[in-house]
Amino acid sequence: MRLKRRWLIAVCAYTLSIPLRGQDSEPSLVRAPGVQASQLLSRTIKDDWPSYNGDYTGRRFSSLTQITPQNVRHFQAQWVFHSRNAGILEVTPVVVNGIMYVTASNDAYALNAQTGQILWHYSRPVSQGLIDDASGHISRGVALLGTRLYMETDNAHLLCLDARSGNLIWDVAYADWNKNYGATSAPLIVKDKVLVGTSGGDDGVRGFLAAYDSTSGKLAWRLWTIPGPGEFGSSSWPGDSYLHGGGTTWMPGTYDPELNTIYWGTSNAAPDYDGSVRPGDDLYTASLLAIDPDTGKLKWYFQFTPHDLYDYDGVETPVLVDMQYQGKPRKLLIEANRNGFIYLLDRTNGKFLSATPFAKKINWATGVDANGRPIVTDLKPTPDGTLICPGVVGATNWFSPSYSEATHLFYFLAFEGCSVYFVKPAPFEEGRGYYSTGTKHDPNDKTQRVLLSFDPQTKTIAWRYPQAGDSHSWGGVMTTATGLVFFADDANFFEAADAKTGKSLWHFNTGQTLHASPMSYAVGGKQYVAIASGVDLFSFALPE
Amino acid sequence: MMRWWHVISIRCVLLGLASITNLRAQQPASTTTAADVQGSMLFASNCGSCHGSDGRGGEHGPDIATDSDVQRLADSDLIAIAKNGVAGTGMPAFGWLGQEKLTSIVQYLRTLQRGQIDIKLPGNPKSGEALFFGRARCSECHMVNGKGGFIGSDLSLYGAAESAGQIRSVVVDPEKNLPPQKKATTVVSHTGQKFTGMLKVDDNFSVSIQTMDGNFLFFQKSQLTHIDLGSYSLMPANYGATLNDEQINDLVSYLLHVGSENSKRSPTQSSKSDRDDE
Repeated sequence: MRLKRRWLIAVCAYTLSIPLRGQDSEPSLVRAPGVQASQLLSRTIKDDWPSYNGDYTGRRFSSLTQITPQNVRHFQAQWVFHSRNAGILEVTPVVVNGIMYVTASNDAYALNAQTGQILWHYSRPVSQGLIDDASGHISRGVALLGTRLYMETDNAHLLCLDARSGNLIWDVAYADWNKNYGATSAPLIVKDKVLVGTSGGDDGVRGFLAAYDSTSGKLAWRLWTIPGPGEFGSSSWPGDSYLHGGGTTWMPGTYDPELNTIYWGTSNAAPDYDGSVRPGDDLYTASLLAIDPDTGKLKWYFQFTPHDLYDYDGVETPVLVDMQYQGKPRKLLIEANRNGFIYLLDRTNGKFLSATPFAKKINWATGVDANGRPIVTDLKPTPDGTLICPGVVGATNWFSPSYSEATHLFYFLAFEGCSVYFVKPAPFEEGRGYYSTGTKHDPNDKTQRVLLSFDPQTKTIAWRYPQAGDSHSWGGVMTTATGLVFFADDANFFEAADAKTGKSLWHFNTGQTLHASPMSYAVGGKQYVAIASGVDLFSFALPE
Repeated sequence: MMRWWHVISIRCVLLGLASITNLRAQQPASTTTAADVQGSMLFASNCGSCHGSDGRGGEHGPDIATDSDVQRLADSDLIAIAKNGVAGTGMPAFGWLGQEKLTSIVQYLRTLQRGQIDIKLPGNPKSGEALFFGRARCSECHMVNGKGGFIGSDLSLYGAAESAGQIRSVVVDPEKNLPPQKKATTVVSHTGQKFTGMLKVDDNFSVSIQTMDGNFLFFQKSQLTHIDLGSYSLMPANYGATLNDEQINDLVSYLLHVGSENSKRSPTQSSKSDRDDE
């Protein structure tokens, strides 16, 4: 209730008198929650990391320079945040003005980014009765705009919280007509809208990307990724199969403000392994969609894996890179796809430029033709099982890649491995997965994670850093202006390597399997690097 | 055979319950069912010694009656916690009681969480709402259902766990009746500067407060000469003078009504829906 007027005047007077970097006897930090809208447009990530990938390009490239290849060996853990209610954390923290925002299942926290102490905590129980990915209650983070914070819940609600208090402002159920929908992503702010997608691509939902007015929570537009009857591409979806075709949008996209275009990936088609009920290419599954953010209209699309039978989601981060390409400055899009190829596209028009195989074991296709269409081998799931490479987890996956403006190389964790794929037709049923049977690990197959460095100029692998471990990690990559590449390795360690050579320079045992992507921020002139591991979040810095 | 202290504690609890029932005289005794009685006895004998007979926390167990995190848990979650215990917290597993008894306990806990089942409103909640967002200016600091300020508590569920008398006492005399954690903290630096806000962090080395403008201030305790935790209420102290009795009743009624309505809604239900699917 109302403040005492005298008190208000006193607080204003004190607040005005507080220096931002005070003397020893004054508070060293005054931190305002929230983010300025203009900050989201910056292509330079320094002290703040205001959105899931740091900026709209998806490069995950930090311009902070305090930590270098020379001093990173002194890197130390500064604090640990423990999430009490979550399963494994896959969140990338967002940090603005010394305040860190993280999600853990359906909970959100604001932390002092210097100490990890909780400033507020919004709590909501995990949803019961969810299936498949949604039942893991994963949340990859928040979006911020002004003093509002947005997050997705496991059952596909978009929550708007007050970033100053964690109080709930509004809550929109954005996919409640089929209980196989869920959500695991971080929303993306574009202009005055908040964009959300869903999980459930293996469970027979119809994928879509939705934009909500960030103030009112009112739906601005919804783009279905599976065409309805009579629409272009609908020949793949006889009867009501379009309602269960998958093509979900379960990772944040990227955005080019100059081209006024959003780039967003779509998942595999459903049912995953039975292509007989979805003839043709199955648009717009396993694709990249270029979308007008104002209207939600599709500008163009590029399909990585037409008629996918292997669960090769196309949701890996579409990274926006401006560089000299074949002698000309080009606006490129680079994506290391789950199907085993790294793609280069012209992001102004979607023109295919190249596809380079990066996995050593690829047998579903022999290559990609001049139009970007894979040359398939016709290996497909069978009732008795077929060995197909890459396997069901893909040759890479949702965790972050990174493009370094210091080395002009593209980095990501690759998976080497195959799966035995089976098919058995089955009808869609709400409350059950819609895989139409499954996969198993090939007992003779040695799986491995490999940190790769790809040169988009020469389309060659600059270096490979094979990882020891049990192939259970899902680790992302981040690069810095000083020529470092930070990544989660496959044996519980968080590592820093020389971005030029791949030589490991520092490692720290987090004691848990990493399923997350790193980020960097600075407070009071000190650079930190943070990453979630298991049920904890770690933040590192150089000693004082 | 039941141990003597169990017998005493059950008697005490039942006496306590009887007195609570008397205080809440609006609720006719005839509405109490056999299941309620079983639930209250089971709660008293298994839960009350740690969580308090009213569920509001005791020496060994946290508040499970008014804590919104607990209130928001589904019945099935609460039953699972009671059944399996919570490793590392001292909360034992009560699986041996069986599903039926655990269900009775959770049903009884729900009545503790709701407070009074039939709320008799002392005033007009509509007029109270207008006061809350208007003349009384409560919404400058407090939020209800997504509208209002941030420095005070979100009161969307406040009325679900409090009685009319308790709410009234806080409105009229917050200085006396607000718990310390709902009051402002004041710190003084070595140079004599004084800062006041709501406490967010307090450990052996540091204090963090949030000021009215939403900013967080972080202090090392070594920087401070004086720390007054939960020192005084930021609420106006003069509602008793600026609002008449009827208006205070209206305000109380609004908080009771909105709290009760919100507590009926599952946390997974959204405040909005936009089913535009095809």
